[in-house]
Amino acid sequence: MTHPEEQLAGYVDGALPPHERRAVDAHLIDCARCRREVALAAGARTALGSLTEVPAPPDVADGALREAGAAGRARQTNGLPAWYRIAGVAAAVAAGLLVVSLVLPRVGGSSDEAADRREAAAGSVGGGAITSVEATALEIQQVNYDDASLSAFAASFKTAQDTSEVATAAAPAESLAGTPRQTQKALRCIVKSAPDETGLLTQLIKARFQGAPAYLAVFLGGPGADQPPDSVSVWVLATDDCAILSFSNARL
Amino acid sequence: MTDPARDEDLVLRYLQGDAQAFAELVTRHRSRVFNVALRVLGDPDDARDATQDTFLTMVRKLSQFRGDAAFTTWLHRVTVNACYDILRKRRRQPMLQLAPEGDEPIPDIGPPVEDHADAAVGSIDVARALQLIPEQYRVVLVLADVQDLPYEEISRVLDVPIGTVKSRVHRGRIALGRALGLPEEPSREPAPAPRTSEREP
Repeated sequence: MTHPEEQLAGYVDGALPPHERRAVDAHLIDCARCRREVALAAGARTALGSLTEVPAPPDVADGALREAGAAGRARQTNGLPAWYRIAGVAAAVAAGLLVVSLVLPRVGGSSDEAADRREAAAGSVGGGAITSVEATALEIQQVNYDDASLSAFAASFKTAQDTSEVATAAAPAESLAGTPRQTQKALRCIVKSAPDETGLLTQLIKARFQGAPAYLAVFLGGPGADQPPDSVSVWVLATDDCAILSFSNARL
Repeated sequence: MTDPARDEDLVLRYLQGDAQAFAELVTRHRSRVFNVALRVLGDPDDARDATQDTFLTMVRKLSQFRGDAAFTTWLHRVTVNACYDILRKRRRQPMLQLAPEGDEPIPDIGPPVEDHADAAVGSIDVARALQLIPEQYRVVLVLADVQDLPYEEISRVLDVPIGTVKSRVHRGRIALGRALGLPEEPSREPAPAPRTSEREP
């Protein structure tokens, strides 16, 4: 079954032309997955509508206004400290040391332990390279995921969490360990495409997604400070260009 | 002044040396810029930084604004880029860490700050949940469902095809719904049919 992916946003908005809406309605009769997605999306849209506008700090543009006044008089700009400071940080990020720390093979210990591992990683890293703590991190699965099985995979961590056995229950028995080079390649993709992920990487898989070779990166997130993780996110990235193919998340 | 001037006219007047025209643009758009940044970044201090950077970029780069796009499109693009700059600075936490340069300590981002200005019950949860979804989705949701920009406009702001915008809106809403813990019916779907049967021969 093909799903009217691009029309579902407009459907939830109530903005589709009548003939498209009827087509989606007809699809929804037969497709439980899209019905669930539409219900979730509508709830999220309503929730976003509840966000109220927050007043901007009154002086937030003072620097620019001063500069605009000066520029208006002299038609020149000089002294750009904030701008260059930010450019400098960006350059440092591009050129500097990136340290990837992994907590492997699974989280379950305290965050102190995680911090220790991160420190160990930071201590052992060289310049300009991404380094994984565990060279055998990447798991290779002969599995072809799709959005439905990905959701099920993410949800499986909930069950696993109940018994303090994170993640492994969901993995097929037969999985191979990738080489360090393959692991590094996967990590580079995560650095590139999931920079805002703040959870702990707990599982890194190479498999297929809708037929295309893909990395699945599983993160556990939580409030930190020795609290147990309370959410799981699974990123699916294309192995060739690291594009985000899909994303699924669940509460634990 | 009788009729309010168009943004594009104010830009022109500023470029001709009228600093007041710039001040008027700031007054018109300050709140919008700040709120986009606040919802994308989730932290009022970072949102303030992004807003300052946006207006500094505006003052320095406005001469590059050609008028071939609406001024608001250009300003949204600058705002989103300012947010991305700040998100890049955060890449050190906690999965990815930048090795400290010199003796400069790595600042602690800390947990999200409560947004006391949000009066509506639950809106703090929504703001926090937004931070749990991928930034690609988050940016699109903020523009579409918080700022109510049309998808065509978002497509121009982000320079991505409109189909990509629609897909990200939908995927982002689903991810946000799950992050919020919205009810999801148990799956009663039969096992997926073999993929070969999807299309007519």
